[in-house]
Amino acid sequence: MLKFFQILSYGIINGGLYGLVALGLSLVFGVMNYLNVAHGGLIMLASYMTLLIFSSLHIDPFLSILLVTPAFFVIGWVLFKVLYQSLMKFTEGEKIKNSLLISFGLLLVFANLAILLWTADERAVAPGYTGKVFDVFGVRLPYTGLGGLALAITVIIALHLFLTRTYFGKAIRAVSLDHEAATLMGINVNKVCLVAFSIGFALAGIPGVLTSLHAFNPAISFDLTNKALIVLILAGVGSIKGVLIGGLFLGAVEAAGVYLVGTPYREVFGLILFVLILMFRPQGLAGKKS
Amino acid sequence: MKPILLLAGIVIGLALVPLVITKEYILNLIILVSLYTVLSQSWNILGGYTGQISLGHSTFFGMGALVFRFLWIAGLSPYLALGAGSISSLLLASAIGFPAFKLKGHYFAIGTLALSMIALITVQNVFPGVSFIPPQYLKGYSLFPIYYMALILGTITILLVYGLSRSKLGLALVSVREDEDAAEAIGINIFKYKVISMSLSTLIAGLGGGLFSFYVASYYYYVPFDLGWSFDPVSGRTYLRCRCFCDIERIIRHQSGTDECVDLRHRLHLHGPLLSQGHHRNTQTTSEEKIIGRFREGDLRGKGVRRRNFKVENL
Repeated sequence: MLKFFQILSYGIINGGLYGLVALGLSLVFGVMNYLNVAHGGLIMLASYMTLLIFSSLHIDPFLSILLVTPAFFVIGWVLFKVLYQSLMKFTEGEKIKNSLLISFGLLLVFANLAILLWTADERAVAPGYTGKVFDVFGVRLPYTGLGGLALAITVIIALHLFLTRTYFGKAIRAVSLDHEAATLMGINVNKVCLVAFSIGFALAGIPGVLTSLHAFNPAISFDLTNKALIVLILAGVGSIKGVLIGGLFLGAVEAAGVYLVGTPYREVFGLILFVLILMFRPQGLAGKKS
Repeated sequence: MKPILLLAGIVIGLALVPLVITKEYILNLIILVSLYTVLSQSWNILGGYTGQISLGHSTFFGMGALVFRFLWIAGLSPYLALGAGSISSLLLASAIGFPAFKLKGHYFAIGTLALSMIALITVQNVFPGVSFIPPQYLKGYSLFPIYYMALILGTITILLVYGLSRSKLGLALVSVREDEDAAEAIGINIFKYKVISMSLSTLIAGLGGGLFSFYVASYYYYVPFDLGWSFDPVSGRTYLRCRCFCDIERIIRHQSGTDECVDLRHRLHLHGPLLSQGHHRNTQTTSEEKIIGRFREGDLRGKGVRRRNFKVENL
């Protein structure tokens, strides 16, 4: 029983990370129908940036979020101007297709760039508290994992509040519902899209910090994109609260799979869940039937 | 009638090729072309005629290969094993493929992709090693039976798809592709025709898998399940595969000319698309694979490469 709770707790800690990984993707996809599969690559780059900051400036990884996130906001801004803005004029289906092609190319570029710059070796950021655990009735909870879970919940709730309680958040939601109607209401759609896209990129920085605390290499970008897409389907497109639920649920299901069958089949359970959701609840766990 | 005559001419011509041309390279190339024909036509029935974009064909291809390999090694004749492999593909499809029809459009594509990933991971875990054929089979290994099997399968699939395209069944499939609601309105049972299309498609994919398994002497069990086999029928990767296969051919020519020991892996992979290309995981040389085969110089220099005689040491 102790083993089960141990595995489940790791699953939930992982689930928080999955939610965070899918967050930026969900925001960008929800607002402007860009399926930005390069998201995993950005997270991987953010991990390397955290590593660089940690090794050269000796700043704690959790604090380095304050540096990484703005940097990725700027990268998002630039990439939107350079690559994605020209897609704005297309119809919904074309947008998905073209952005998928562009971002898949970017994903390959990022992964190879990272191999070129830092080689394919496994790396990790190891601050003083790595490996330290918090003991709850025999279940060992690592500090880094707990910090990550708390961070994930905070960030997702903060984004949810930003979208529902602020004026600019309202504008973003209006744009995601209908571009034309939003224009008629006096919203500058281009500006809103630019900012939302950059926020989506900035949100890649936060899971990047969390993945840097475990071993990572350039290849994780593909796995992370995979997970993000699964969570996106679980959550229902554009649902921010759903991302948290979906991520935690995926983590828990994977943990149950690991407990029942074994570690090699961890991915299988995520994928089975994905297929089942596609079959029986294509609008996602938290989505409403359209 | 003309296309049939043309096809008959081509097939008879190809059937005579091994009697005239002894260059292995040409035979390998024709086998590969047939293999990809089978796989592409299999995909064509489901994806082309019925409009269900499946990215899960590697599962059925791999299932055919897996069952073929086990039955063949157990002593069954290749053609019986081929049939069994094909039917097991169909069984697998009825277990996982037909429920997938609950998914529509893009969802079907990503759903089947997820299914094929599940199959790949499962096979990687259940059969982690390399599938060898026993030494006595390796001694008798010759391209001729493989060549004719490939030719027969290629012809059958082309004829089948040709017949299908001119039949009432084919029309029904096309109507499902064009507009599901309209097809249903004029009294076509969509689910039934999707199932028929999927069954035909998986049967043929299973045949292709069996051919692969007959052709490639040793491979990792997961290789025919690799996602590449789902994308290949739809893309131009055939060309790339042929390219790398030529490179290996050249390397082996060079090595055997100097009578050096040649890594058996290369020799065996000569018969297949270069398997390690693009499948980085686990495919690099392992101790299992470092079985050294030695060529007899004369075979390659003097008489051409009509039969591959090489002693297998330490098998």
